[in-house]
Amino acid sequence: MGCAAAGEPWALHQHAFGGMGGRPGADGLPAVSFPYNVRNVSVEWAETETPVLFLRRELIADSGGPGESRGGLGEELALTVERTADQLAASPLTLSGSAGRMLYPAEGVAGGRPGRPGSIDVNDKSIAPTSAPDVKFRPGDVVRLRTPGGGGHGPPGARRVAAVQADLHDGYVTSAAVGEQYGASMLKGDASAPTARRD
Amino acid sequence: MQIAIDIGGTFTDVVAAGPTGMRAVKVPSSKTDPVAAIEAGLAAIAQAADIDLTTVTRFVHGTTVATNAVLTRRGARVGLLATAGFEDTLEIGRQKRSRMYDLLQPPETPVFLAPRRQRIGIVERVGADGHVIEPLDQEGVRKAIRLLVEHHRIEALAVCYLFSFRNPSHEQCTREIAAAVAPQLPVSLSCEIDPQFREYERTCVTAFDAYVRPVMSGYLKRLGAVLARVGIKAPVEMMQSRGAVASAARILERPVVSLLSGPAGGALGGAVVGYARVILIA
Repeated sequence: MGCAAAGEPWALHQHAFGGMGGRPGADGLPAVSFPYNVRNVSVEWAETETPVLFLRRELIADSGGPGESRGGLGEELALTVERTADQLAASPLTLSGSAGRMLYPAEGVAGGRPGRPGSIDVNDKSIAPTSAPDVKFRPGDVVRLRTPGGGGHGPPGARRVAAVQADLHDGYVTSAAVGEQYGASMLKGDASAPTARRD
Repeated sequence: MQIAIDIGGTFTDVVAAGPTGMRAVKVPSSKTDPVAAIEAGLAAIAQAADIDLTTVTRFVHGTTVATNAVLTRRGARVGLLATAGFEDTLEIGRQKRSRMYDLLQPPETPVFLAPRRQRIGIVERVGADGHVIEPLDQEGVRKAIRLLVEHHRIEALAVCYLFSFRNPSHEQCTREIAAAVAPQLPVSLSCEIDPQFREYERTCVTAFDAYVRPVMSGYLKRLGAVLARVGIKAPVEMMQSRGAVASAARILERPVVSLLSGPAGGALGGAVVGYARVILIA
């Protein structure tokens, strides 16, 4: 939230959702409103109504807890407020709200491993994990919210090789993490397959 | 003489209407090519109603070709270009679930249209007021299209950049690049397919459009050939999802509007026949 130079206050109520836990027979849904159920704010709406500029809204590779069923991926939102004369004059800006799973990750069950915890940082500097962050920032600063991944369900070693390979192709997991979390055998024969997205 | 044809899963219905009244025939639909049933249906109605097909002045058509391509997941392999950092818009969606207490619910966003490996981020950015914050990385577009075509063998390209409905220049430039790199590749631009605010919904409609585009264009081409063969010179009019007809050329600009062509025609026909008191079972 902030205040424009003209004195007009503004606030953006933005939801960011973590991944759902792995389920028996199915991976957790990525970045989804669960167990509650509300809709997000579209980037185009937020930017039309407020001075906020989004730099990114994407799923976080390797954030889902390893398991026979993988935990759903968390999402990363990076945003800034444009450094206009108006905004500079009217600072500071405040990011506040409620955040969960920043200190403790979502645990796995039945042998599944935990997901990656969430984090908030400003200009790449982490803020202390707290359930009620209240962060001051200035126009031009980059605020990055990373929501937690869901925990895995069942032992990672029991995951189907085809599922791990598909995850690799889609960039839901990186090959480094697969070797570490699922075992090098899962990478066999296909470690060099192009993942395409970042070429 | 006017002719209307609706293709269903089991039967293809042909209706001829003229000064002497209305006649209808039913022929079995073809599992392999819906157009084959049209040819059979036209021959049947010509015989049953003693029609000279070259005198047909109007040809109206409802089809579930696009609908079936989606339901059976037999649409095109689609590549999706999005603003860098927003490649996952199609997958993240609005994050709400339609069944709150269903723990085993499958994903509700249509990721099948363009799996993550076929979505590539392009460095470019247009702001909310339409001004260019970051110019289009044209070399990036070139590389992305080459990768999608050569490695992922895509058959159609969908392009949805943020705020393209305010300033379509980056999407338009992307199409020009695509035309140079892959001249045969069908392209759906969000600024033309559904130029409306809200990135997820616009991306969705554009990706659906790309998914059914090759199917619909192939189908309309074969339909045109059949009509020419039997001597029908009337232009093809197609039922759209919203219940109005459009020329085949208009449908090819935005094939996604034919997604509910068949059901919309059925509902309209039912309203005409049964006025307000009708229950339709399709």
